[in-house]
Amino acid sequence: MQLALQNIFVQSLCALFACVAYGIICNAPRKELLYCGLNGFWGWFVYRLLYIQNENAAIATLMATMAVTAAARFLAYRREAPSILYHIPGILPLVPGTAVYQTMTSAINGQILETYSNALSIFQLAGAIGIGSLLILVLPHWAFAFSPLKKK
Amino acid sequence: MDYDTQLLNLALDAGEIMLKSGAETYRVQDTMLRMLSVTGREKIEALALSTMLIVTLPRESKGPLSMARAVKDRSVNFEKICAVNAMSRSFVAGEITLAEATERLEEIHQASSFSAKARIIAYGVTACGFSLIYSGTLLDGIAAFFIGMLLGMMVLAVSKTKAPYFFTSFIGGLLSGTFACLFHKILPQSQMGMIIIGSIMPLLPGLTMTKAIRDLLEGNFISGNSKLVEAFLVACAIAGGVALALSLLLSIL
Repeated sequence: MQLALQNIFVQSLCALFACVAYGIICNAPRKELLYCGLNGFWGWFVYRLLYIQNENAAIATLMATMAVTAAARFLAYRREAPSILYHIPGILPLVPGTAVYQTMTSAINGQILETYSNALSIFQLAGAIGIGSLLILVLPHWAFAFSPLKKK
Repeated sequence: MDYDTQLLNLALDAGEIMLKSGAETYRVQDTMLRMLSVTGREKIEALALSTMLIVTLPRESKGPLSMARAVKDRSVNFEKICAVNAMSRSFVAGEITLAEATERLEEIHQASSFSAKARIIAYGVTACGFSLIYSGTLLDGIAAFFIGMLLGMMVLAVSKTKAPYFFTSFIGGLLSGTFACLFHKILPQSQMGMIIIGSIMPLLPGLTMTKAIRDLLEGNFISGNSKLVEAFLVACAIAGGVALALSLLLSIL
């Protein structure tokens, strides 16, 4: 069981369910819920794949955010909905929750240096999410207008 | 009311719903500007800050007309953003008149969302999923599911009262820290950290932070700064709640 949870596909499936549930929390329209989840799957899949390659969380977060944002804009064009609808659930698995927790525990244990380094890693990951989103968001509208699929 | 006042009211109502539902600042500004541009006049203005909206429309006979509105409470509701977006598109395209648009906005305002039961279960599933993908065990996932549902009930109960916005986060951190610690004491093979990280995930200000950085990088400095402070305060409230629960319980137990 534990081995299965380390599998990248099983983890990404967990992310899919979590992101669909987050879509419900955010009151996403019912017919878009599956796409929110798929974006979460895609984001976590890219993140794990890159993280296994080079063990650098910031780069992996940056690339995964770019992948998620591109997918969100593509979906937004295709389904004629605001891109934030797919963007936010997709980014949620990349939000540095672990770093926040570690900063907090090292702060209450009185480990000053670890608190600083953990707090810096929060800023690093948050910055990676911001820059990654923006790099894709500044692309013009027509960049996402290609597809062999028929428009809805 | 004359046509201009009605149009400004419509733009402000649409902007208010979008801003309350968690839309990005630039989208609110853009939507209001497009709705005003159906008059075809020059020098129309639409400004959205994180807590207020201002619109200005020049008139032929009298001087320019300007209206402002303060936006207080905030929640997240993507369905309303989509609905207002669709409404403004068809209004700008001339498919519906001003009166019809006002009616549709009224419907959107009262649009139903997911039931309380579905949302509580969704909080549980989110918590469970995140504790599993951050290398938690199945046991941690189950614990996070129940703590997540508890947090969901708490969030829904607190949102009906007029509590300050960081109150939810603080109580959420407190509850998740307390129950994760108790669960860890009963079943020592569970990992307390994974349960806490998973269960606070739905409360973390990921949406606010992403929007803040986007606003800052786009040059909307006032909105970006205030959202950054909001995200920071919420994160600190959660961490403070968890820290209080852990430091109290770990010293007692």
